[in-house]
Amino acid sequence: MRPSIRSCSAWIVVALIVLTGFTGEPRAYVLSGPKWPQPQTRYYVNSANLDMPGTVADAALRAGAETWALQASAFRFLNAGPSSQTTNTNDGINLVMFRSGSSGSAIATTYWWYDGSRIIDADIVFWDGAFRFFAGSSGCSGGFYIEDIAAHEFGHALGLGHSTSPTATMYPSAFTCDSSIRSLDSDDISGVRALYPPELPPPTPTGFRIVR
Amino acid sequence: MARQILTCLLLVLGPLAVVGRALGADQVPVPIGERARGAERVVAGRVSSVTAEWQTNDYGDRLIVSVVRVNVTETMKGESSPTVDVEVEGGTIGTLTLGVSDQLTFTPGERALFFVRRNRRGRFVPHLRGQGTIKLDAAGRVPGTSLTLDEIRREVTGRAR
Repeated sequence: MRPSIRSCSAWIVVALIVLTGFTGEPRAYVLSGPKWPQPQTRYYVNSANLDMPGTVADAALRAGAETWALQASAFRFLNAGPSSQTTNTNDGINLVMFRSGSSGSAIATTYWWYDGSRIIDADIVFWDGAFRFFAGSSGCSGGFYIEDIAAHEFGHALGLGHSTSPTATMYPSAFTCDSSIRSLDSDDISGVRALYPPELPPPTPTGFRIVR
Repeated sequence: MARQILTCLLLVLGPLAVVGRALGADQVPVPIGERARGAERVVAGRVSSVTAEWQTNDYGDRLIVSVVRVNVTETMKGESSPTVDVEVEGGTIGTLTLGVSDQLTFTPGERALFFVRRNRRGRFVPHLRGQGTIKLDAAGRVPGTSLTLDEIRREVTGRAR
């Protein structure tokens, strides 16, 4: 006997309630504490690296940065252009760069500066001496896609800490060549929207008016 | 009835299973034994003080670094001493704070394990950055896991040397 749509809907509701209870941790995301005073900020890129042309790396970084605006509609990183800067400090310039050094087991590191509750600077370092980076979604071997690592690091730059949810982009560790991190988990979206509530959609018209 | 429930549950659970994903990103997990092998010292202890200062690292980055003084309760590897100062990137000076994504922050009174090596200036820093520090709760467990200090000790002493 095929279940009717009506009875099935009721069971789906019950199943979702049960599932929500079993999966627990509706809030696995962690907020670092501070946030940007506005829901967007500009960043510069020093794309010189050991693995690919700078233009390719730059495009991959843009894609990672855009993750938060496109998938969560909550915060936008604006690419402000290239930079030749190679050091990171609190100088008001948000910088993404590759460093031909090793930093233990870290694939990339985000440094964010804040005064009180306001983030004032954020810099991201990709540890290019320790790991090989790739761009796109195929061809990776024993390394990491920039798009995925960038999505995670830009998450730190906007004020998110490490999530306890293993399926979240903001989970702290990674497997090589994983290209799923660039897709935000519902936990990531909840986290960024808790910091930067998306703007309300335009009001829906309640009636029609004929304009001649 | 049971069949009806099963059909409906499959409708709900099927798509959820398909969208299941692997892990997220910013460091590669390193087993405890491997962390110990590369460390000059492995100590457990309680943080007695945290002092932040400005430092310029080997890359020319001017950063806030916290000097974490640890009262050592156990040395699992390396030379033993009553205290160890470990320099961890990040900290607060005045109202300005530097957060670092792969480093833990410490406050006095916390228990932790430190896998340390010396940097070029001869000061102790966490070996493998963030994976060189593990916090412990009052019961000697790693918070959020079932891992105990005893298990870590076995891993360290069994494989470090």
